[in-house]
Amino acid sequence: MMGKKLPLLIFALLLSAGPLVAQTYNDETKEELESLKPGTTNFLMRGYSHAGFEIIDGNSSFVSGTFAPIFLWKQGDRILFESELEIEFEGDGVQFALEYANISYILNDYLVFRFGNFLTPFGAFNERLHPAWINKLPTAPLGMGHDPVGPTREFGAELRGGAPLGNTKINYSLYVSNGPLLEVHAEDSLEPPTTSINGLNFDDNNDDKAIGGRIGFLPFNNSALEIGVSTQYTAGIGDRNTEYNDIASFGYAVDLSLVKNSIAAIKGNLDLKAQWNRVEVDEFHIELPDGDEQAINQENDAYYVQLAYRPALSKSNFLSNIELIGRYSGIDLTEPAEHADEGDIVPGVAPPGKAKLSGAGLSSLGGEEEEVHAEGDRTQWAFGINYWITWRSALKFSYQVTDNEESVPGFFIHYALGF
Amino acid sequence: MKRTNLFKLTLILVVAITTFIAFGCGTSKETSGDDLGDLGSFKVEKSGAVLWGENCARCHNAPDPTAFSDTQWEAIGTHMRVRAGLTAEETNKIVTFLQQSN
Ligand code: HEC
Repeated sequence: MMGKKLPLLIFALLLSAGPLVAQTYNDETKEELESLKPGTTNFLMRGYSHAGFEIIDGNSSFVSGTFAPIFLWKQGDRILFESELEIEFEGDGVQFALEYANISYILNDYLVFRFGNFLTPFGAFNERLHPAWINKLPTAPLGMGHDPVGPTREFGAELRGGAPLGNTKINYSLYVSNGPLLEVHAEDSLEPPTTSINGLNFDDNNDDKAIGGRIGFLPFNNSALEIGVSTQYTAGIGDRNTEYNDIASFGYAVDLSLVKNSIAAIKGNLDLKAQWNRVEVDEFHIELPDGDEQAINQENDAYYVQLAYRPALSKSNFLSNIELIGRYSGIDLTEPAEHADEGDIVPGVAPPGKAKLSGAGLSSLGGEEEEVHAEGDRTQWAFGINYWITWRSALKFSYQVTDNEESVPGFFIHYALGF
Repeated sequence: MKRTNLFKLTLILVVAITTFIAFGCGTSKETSGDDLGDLGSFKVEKSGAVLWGENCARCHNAPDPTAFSDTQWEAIGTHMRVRAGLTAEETNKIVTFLQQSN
């Protein structure tokens, strides 16, 4: 269904962008040509890294989490290429991933056209807060790290920007992308098939595209508060020409950020972040080895709230660099349904995202989130103390307790560096 | 589902208290002209420095102007404009401020 609408949609996108491009091109051709001469291309390599020591459930280990170089090319006034590599140790080896690579073209003061592979503007954590030097705690909130509920990266095209609205402000993003990908593997006729939903769909498995976006509203004149609403819908996520091809996926997220610096009464800065993600996938059936059908029904939630306080106005130099953080997060996955006849547990479907997992909530996460080898719902309290050496490097100490069937404590010392 | 409800309640409480502290107590050395707001059609123009303070500390700590060179700030400005959904005016003012203060 989407297949027929898609060309129309792309056409409409281009149509709306076309006149803007043409108009500005005429106006500024000369300037543009000037700025494209060699010497005005601006290349920058930035990035971040972290390393640390962790004790999870009594097992201690030094970790070197991630080295993530970022490349930025700015060409003239309108074109920006951004790309990030993520290099991390995993298992016995090193995992090398292209986190994103995309090109932005500035259409006008309020609108940017972007295409390629970009971080999904679904909530705020994924797009805005995940780098180690930005995330105030050594781990990601449950369901927002490498075992996400909700999409994390898209192959697609996007219009985004921001605009003043009287005394308030909004920012927006609207995109079309390949969307998530449902995989059903039945490798062995003796085992139930495993299913996974993968966000990395670079070679689209069908013609149904995802449509999504986010609107952020900043109701106060000083931009301290932002409330964001995001959504993504894909009419079909299964492979084309299979019985799964019209399984739809629908997700939405609400995020909130409140940052107020230099508050006299509390001698410092407050930073509140919260987010809620929800993803629903149409019910579908898989065939079990004994010939019975198993219904798989997906409704997953992940949420967190985090409050940080930094006594930045303190007269003591040491104290003013200290930040205290508390966070509560949780993940609610649909329980794997019981097989009616024998009571076997059939593997659930991993939440959409880049991690390809079988078994709901199983995770093995390179330093980003602690490993919890148990299925299902979890909640977590995390407390941290950071010492900020510069604005983008911190020594982070944290203690967290993750509850599912039992409590799993974790202690972390990380050094995070943005460069 | 119960846990989810508890979470909602906690969230609402935390948001309410934080908003109260953040907006009820005011800022020391306020220079932004926040309180003037929009007086009829007269709008207070914000300087690059104020915009930097308000916009560049929302996701991460506000960057130190001396951290980068003029040309580097150009690229970073565009990067952040795209990432954060800033307008051209905001971005230009902030970049100019950073370039003047590095
Ligand atoms: C919406 C959240 C957000 C806002 C607002 C924001 N930043 Fe960033 N900033 C980020 C993220 C996320 C990164 C990391 C980029 C990455 O790793 O992909 C970053 C990275 C940076 C970097 C490192 C270099 C780079 O370009 O990656 C600098 C410097 C920076 N920001 C400066 C600024 C300035 C100046 C402002 C104000 C105009 C600003 N930021 C506003 C989210 C934000």
